[in-house]
Amino acid sequence: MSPNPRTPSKTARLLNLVSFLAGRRYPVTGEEILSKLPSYREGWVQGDSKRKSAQRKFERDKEELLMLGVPLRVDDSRIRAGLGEHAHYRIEDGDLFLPVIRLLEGDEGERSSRQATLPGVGVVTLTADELSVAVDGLSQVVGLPSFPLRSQARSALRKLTFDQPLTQPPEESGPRILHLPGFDPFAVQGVLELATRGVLERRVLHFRYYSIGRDSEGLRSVHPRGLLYQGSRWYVVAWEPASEGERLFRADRIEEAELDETERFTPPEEYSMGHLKDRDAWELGEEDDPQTEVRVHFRWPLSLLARRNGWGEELRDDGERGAERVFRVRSSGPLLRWVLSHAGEVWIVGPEGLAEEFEELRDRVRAVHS
Amino acid sequence: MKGKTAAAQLRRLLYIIPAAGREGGTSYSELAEELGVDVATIDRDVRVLAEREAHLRAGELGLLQIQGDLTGDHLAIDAPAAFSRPPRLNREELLALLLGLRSRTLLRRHPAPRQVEALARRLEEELSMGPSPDESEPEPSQALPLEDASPPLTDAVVRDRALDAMEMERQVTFRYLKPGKREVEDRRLHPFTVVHAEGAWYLLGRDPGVMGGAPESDGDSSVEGLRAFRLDRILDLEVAEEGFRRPPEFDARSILGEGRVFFRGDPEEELTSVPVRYSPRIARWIRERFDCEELEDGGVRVVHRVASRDWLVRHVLQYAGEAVAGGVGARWVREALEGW
Repeated sequence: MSPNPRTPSKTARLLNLVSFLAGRRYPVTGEEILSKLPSYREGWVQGDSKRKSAQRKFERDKEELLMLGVPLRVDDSRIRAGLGEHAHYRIEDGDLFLPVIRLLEGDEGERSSRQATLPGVGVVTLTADELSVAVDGLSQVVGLPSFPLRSQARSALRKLTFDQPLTQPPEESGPRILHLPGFDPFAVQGVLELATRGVLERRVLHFRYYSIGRDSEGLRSVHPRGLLYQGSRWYVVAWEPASEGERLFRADRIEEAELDETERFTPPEEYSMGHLKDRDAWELGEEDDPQTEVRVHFRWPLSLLARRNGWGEELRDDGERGAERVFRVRSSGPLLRWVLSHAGEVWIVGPEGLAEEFEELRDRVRAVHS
Repeated sequence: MKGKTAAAQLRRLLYIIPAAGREGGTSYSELAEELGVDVATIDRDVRVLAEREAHLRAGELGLLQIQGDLTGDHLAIDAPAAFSRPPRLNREELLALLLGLRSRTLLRRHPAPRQVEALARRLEEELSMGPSPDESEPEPSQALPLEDASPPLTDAVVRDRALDAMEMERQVTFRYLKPGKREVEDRRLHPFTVVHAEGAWYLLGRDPGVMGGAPESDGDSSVEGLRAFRLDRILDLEVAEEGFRRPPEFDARSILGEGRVFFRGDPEEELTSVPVRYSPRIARWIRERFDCEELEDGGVRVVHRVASRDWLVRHVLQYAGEAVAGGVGARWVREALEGW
């Protein structure tokens, strides 16, 4: 069905509303908006029922602009002061339009910008380093596979460089930092977008999850707290009320995800995901799971790498005779396999039981390859 | 900024109007690239502007009156002063910016995280649209504390220096411990790209020694002389005085694939096909990572194309007897276990 040529499209209607309100020196009443803008006027000048419909349309448009981030202010001070019965509306240029970004060059603070100061529009000055840091950061997340706010990051990048014709957005080809995803980026895109909305809007996320450890599938309902990109994979970090614990769900094992549009949750105050960063497999487990101290010997020169990478904590360094380091372990299996993968350059010193278990594993590999 | 909703279209228009209002205007194709949509979408967006004016009576145009060339690929709009600016950053753009800054502090140590945090707060205050319409929702900076954005020290130091060297087009020198070796090597490299794959960081570049450092090697984007080094095996890295020229058309994506840093770059290593059988107990993890042949016992078999013998040995050992290498791979594993 082709649009009615007499009726402006919804986009045109929203744009008209922005255009009508932006830059007005004084707020205007809803009545003025409804009677002057063609999108509402037709209904407004007709009978009461049409008038209410025009009013509802305006209310919906107003909400939509607010959701978009357009700073449409409602001023009811006249009502409160007993000077009138109607609220007033306005959009101040300084709230809506991007300030001019001027670049400080060198120590002298010399400014360069081809944009003149505009009435009502502010000016922000940045050093070249500051702009470069922001552009670098945005380019970094734009390059992250399946980053759920990629289009927003690109948009922010365009705005930051709007006044800087010499600052080009990052090249699409030949990046200096490249991420190779260990998953199909398109397959997880939808899950990440929903989880991001869940985090921002504090909405419960329902999904079907394949738990590979248990080799079983089940329905899960969680309070998403954040997203974690680690080991070249995305994880949804969430509190699961059913198991009363914080869980990490690999995004590529999530299916049929949907947000609960009716229920919101309250996240803990001052939450941080810092404790999840760069955890090794042997450190995973519940907070109250017991920890074992495992002593591990590293031959030289691998001992240099152990120190450089902070593998465990150093107990003793005997130079070219190697070093002994201690690991705090909740789950010994992953540590034993990691030590084994170093092919004799690393071994378990203690506790004795674990050292024996390590030797049994080594003998098992030997047996299956004999 | 894809999307067919009115909100998405309005977002684009609020960028298109100032972009086309700049001196000399712009082009449909440029806008399409900038906004990540096709030219037809930009065309539809611009039609909305023309259509909008058709519905307005004289004097009703409000602040936004558009005049200009709306034909051909060229687009110029004579917009009023205020509309010569795009909108401030909305909440999600601001969040993306804060995440970008945080990511930047994780990747590079300078400026210090505290300075980056101060910059984030300033940009949030000066460039954003202000408080969320829903007061129960946190502001982006509240949702994103930057306090714990301390970089992982060791890899970050190496990455910082390598990225500095790339920017300055200077060679790097470093000491490297190759997997399975007992000697630390001194290496020199023309650094091209830092790659993150399979949970590890790699430095990719060309070994000038292989090309003899000959000037004619500059600009060559073939894999000849290319080397990849795991950052966590680099013991220290310095930016050298000597320069190099990064081949302008070099793109690591063209030589890396399947989520792995794997290319035939080292002449000492020959590509070998090695079959590995995995037990039913671990088969489901393997199915997620590789193309597998199903076995009758519920296990799987994978034929790996192996450039590094050491990679194969470590790969098999980590499964502690649940993976069994065949062919030449079995001998490699036996040899690795000898005398251990």
